[in-house]
Amino acid sequence: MILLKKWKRYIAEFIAILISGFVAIPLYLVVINSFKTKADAAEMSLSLPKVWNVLKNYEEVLKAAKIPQAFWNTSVVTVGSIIVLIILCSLTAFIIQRRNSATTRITEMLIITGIILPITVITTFYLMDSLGLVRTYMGVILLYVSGNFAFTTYLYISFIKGIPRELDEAAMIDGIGRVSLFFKIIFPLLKPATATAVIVAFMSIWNDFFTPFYFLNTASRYTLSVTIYFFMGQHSSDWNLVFANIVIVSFPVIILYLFMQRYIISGLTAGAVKS
Amino acid sequence: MLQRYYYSHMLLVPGLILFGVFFIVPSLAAFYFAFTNMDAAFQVTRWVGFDNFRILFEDDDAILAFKNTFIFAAITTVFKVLLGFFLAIFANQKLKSVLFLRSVIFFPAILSTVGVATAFVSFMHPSNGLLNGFLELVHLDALKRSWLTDPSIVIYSISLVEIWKWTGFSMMLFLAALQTISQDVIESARIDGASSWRMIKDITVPMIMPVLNTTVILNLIGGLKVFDIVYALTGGGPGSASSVLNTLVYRAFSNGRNGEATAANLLLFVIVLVVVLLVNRILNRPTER
Repeated sequence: MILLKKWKRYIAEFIAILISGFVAIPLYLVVINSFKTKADAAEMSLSLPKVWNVLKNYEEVLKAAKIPQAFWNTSVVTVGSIIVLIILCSLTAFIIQRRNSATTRITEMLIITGIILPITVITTFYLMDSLGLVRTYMGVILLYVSGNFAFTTYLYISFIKGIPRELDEAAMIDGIGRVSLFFKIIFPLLKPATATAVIVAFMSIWNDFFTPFYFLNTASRYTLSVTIYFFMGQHSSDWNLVFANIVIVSFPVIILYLFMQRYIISGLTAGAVKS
Repeated sequence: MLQRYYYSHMLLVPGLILFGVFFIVPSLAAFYFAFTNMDAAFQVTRWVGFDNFRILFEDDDAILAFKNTFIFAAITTVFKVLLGFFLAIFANQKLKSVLFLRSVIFFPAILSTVGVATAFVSFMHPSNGLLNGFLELVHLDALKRSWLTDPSIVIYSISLVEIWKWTGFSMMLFLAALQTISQDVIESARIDGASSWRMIKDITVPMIMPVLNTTVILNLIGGLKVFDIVYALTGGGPGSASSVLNTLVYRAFSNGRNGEATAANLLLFVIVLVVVLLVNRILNRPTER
């Protein structure tokens, strides 16, 4: 009986490793081929490189795909959007949750609809064009904020429900102003929700292709995801370089995942379930 | 009085202006511009009634895009949910390799979609790609395909990539739900001699129903709105064989036919709304006993 159980366990462990292989082998292939020479990489085999072409490949990609520029572009829009998003959504959620009026109820309904619906990209482009915001950081930041606004606000609303009103009232008795009430008393208590919101927004904005492809479509403003797309178009036979580009672009996210895996997984899943 | 001061509607204004101007206004505007002949410079000279929609429904490419969108959304949802569910049950065991399994399976979810798609362009290469190489290795040569260039299967190949990337995400959602089921319930069911299958059917599934609903709806919405993965894998090709609604919108937009593009976009908008409401109603139907 015990022997059987042990057997079963070994089989299960084996299956687990086998399943992991379906994900791990493609990833390994990308990394290992990014170290090879062009001819070697064209075979796309799982073997180790005959010649380790690491520095040469990565240097070439950094230069040819203008990675430093793209990295800067991606950072500007990601960080800018997240800061505005966090401040606006937490504040909006606070008012909606605390005050029960026709205005807040209608706002909440709009927000729930906004979570589901896709953006209508052509009319958005028309609007951005009229405002002179196409191909600007500012324009893309505004789009990311409005695009993530509904979801992030909703996330905050469900979290603020758990913060007792008595806290507000105590601060009010002390004669606190309304802006201080929110930013000094409430906002610091929202840290867990803010962490979730930042992770969800970071992952979706950093990796996004759709928005910069439409709205930031000029070589000097390419984001990292967009560089992969255009770089592959120009270097479709240099798989070593294409793979190196993928590795470079994924690198920041991978580092984050290695160190903050628990938070990222719980953040992304909590974010999804709350909505 | 105090309420009106502290929870002032004024504080809603900045957020609402942004959301209103950049999300709600374009959405509403689509209901007007979809019925016009808006051109590349966004000039409108004429109201064209339902012409844009008629063009879409008479165009074979557009019909194919509709079909592909539904195929993609349905297939990816079914597989991500089913595989994610069974993987979650498997990964919920007390095994040494399980933690490793979880982080590996979830990993693709954090990667850039375009990066993943680009890598799969190589894996699905007909002559020396990983996928056909693997099939050869296990002597399943008959299953070898031109994954991304054969018009009859290309949409399924794209679905496969999407499933590879996102199954781990569904798995994590289910895992989080599974861990809320109390051990006592499972223990007592086991003592009563319930089979594993019955335990899944009568305990696990009902207990995680809310998460199941969310997962299905999230995946459906994502599937209907798909753009990145299709565009980066095939650009909608070969020809229009793998085009979906969002690539159709992009094509009309880049050809300067903005009226038509808006009409296609509006249809997507309405389809997402209808599908979500419908599925939500079906899944949330109270089970009367």
